[in-house]
Amino acid sequence: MTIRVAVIGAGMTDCRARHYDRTLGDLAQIGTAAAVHDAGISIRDVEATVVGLYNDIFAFQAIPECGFTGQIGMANKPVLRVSNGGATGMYALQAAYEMVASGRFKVVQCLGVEKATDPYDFQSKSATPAVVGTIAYSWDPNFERPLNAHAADSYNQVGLAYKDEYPDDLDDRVQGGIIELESKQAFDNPFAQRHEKVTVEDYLNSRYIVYPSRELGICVYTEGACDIILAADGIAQEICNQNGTEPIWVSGFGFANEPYFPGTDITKHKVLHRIYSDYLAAKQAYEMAGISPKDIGIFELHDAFVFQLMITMAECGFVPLGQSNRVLDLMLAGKPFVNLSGGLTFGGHFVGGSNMMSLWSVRREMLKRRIKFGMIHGTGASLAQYGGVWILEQGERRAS
Amino acid sequence: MKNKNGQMGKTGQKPFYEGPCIPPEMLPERGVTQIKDPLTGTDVLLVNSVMFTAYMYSQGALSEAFFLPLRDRAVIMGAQCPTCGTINCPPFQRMCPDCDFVEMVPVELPDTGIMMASPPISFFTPSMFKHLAPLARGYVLFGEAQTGLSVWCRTTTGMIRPGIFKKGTQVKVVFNDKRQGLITDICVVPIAELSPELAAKSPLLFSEVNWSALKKPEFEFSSEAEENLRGLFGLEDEIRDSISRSPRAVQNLNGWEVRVQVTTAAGKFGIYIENENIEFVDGSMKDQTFELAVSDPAVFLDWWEGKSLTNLLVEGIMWMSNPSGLETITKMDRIPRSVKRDKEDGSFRKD
Repeated sequence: MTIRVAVIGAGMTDCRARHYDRTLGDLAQIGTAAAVHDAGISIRDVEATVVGLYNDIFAFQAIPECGFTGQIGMANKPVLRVSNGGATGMYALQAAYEMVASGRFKVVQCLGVEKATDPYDFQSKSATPAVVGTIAYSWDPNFERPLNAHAADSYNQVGLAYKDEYPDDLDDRVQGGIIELESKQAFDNPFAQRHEKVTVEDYLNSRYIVYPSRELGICVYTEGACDIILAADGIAQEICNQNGTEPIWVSGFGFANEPYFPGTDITKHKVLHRIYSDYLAAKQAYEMAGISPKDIGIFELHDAFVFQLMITMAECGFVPLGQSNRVLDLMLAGKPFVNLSGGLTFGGHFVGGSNMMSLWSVRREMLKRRIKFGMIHGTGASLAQYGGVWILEQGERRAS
Repeated sequence: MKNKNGQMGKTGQKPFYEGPCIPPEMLPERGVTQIKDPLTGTDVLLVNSVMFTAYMYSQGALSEAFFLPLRDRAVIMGAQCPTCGTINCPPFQRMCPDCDFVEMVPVELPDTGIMMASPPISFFTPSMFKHLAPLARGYVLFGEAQTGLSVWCRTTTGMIRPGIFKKGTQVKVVFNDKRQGLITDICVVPIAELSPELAAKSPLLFSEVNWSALKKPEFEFSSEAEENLRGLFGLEDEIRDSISRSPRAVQNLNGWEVRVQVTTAAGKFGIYIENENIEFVDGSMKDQTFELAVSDPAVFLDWWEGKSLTNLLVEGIMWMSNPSGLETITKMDRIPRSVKRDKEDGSFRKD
């Protein structure tokens, strides 16, 4: 029998393009301190940690989590590091959930941290080509990486394949409208990397990075940390009684990893025009929570690219595939609220912890707005093959 | 585009897999730089370094299954499951997991296929590919294969542009004359761009294809263009002053020096960039780094208002002599937004 698990605390650092004045360990420590203070507990109450940290090359150190184990108060306790591409955060959260749900631990923290922009291209005198190149080491070294496979290239392949199937969908002005809305919403996130007003016209005027994606429709590279405290049924209510919040229960989840190579059979290949992992993960999560998309009041989803946000909304059942142009109207109506943090495009994308930021935001908004059900999502890998979804619930628990 | 070995590369440049694995100009000298964190004012040391690991990595079973036949016989190989009949290309797995891990068998595939989807085009690339941008990479289904091979998509009509390759476009593999056993030994072109003889030839070699470059356009004089060019020169002081007051824009152009010759319907002018200093120069320019051609100089007025120059290249409105100019265009595209952001967040210097 599994034990119910709740989120009882969350803490963030500022999201910045570069924290010149903070090491990876500093970020990890600041995020951890913020979370335990938010939960009103001592770090000594935390029995184990899962670290979501995507990329050793970013960190300029292999197994970089070993360097800050003591700094985050975990001396002589179990620390498990998870690295699973863009979806690192979701998978790290799930590992932490399992630690508590299994009954092995009562209080576990899940720390996502990334110091991403130290790589530098000395020829261009710019960090970005080196950061992009670092991520590109995730691609197959025989068939893909030598051909300039990289994140924007591959995700745009998914977007273009989707557009091949649904030529009237992913309308440019709708994409711009979503960006405009996210930019407004980010002003309510004190930790957001970009507090910048962006209009539809700004979006349409911005340059193509990888055709057809424009610069202002792509997530930012970020340095930062976010820490989440999970607790077991019983102690979760005790802690929340003391800190004056309510437990936010994990009432559903789902995960799926599509295969690497593209092909024609969705049961054994990556089908380019789908983010099938999102569909499968969301389906599992809805079934487990016993709800449907219309019950979701707030959704923080992993928007690596604005077109991918639209496809993910369709894969998660908020609109039919091919009708994602309707997503903007849903967002404007708050049915559901989407990416009130500004998402990864304005809030920040510190890969190992971006999905924790989504959870930080969903919990904050659920508590503030008294929302019953929230949802978070992460995607990753070369062609968006990794998908993870959590459904969060506030108040009396429904039967699972 | 073609060199003496018939290998792929941009005009006048070495092919991708010649020379050192890391170009020397990308390697930093040892050094430590002291800066002030622009947000906190903290003094910080930045250390030049590299994460250095050389590799002599093995292509393993893929050598015999794909890369040796590609190199020695100029053929595209797949692998077929003897039980379910599935064909994979590339032959990425030696056993079929759907049929109790039965050994797959090699199968030679035709060198023509169809695009699985419209391929994206990278105008901004990782460091190691900057000299090749813009470039398109897509997936092709060969013969009865159910999986797609990742390939470079090239056109014989100059710079790659949207719309040349689409889902279902029939393509032909072009093999490097001198092959090494790498996926970069091949690319595909639309069959529609080839003569019937070349389309029927197997293998089709790189040196056998006429890779024409996009010709520099010529413009008739236009008084409207002349007025817009005067308008641009009238903005020069404002542009230079704004850049110098914008920390982000200064950072964008830090260490950058180029001389860009621009041809328009109002005649020629030059853009000279040296760090944050930008100047417009009337007439022809000596020692130009690269050349642009665009009918109406108003595009540079629009650029200052935030419209991208990169997009003009994508849309075929502006011509560029050398793809290496893309880095400069990228930097120029950043400047108006940097100025805007600095004005919005108070970083723009008022003195």
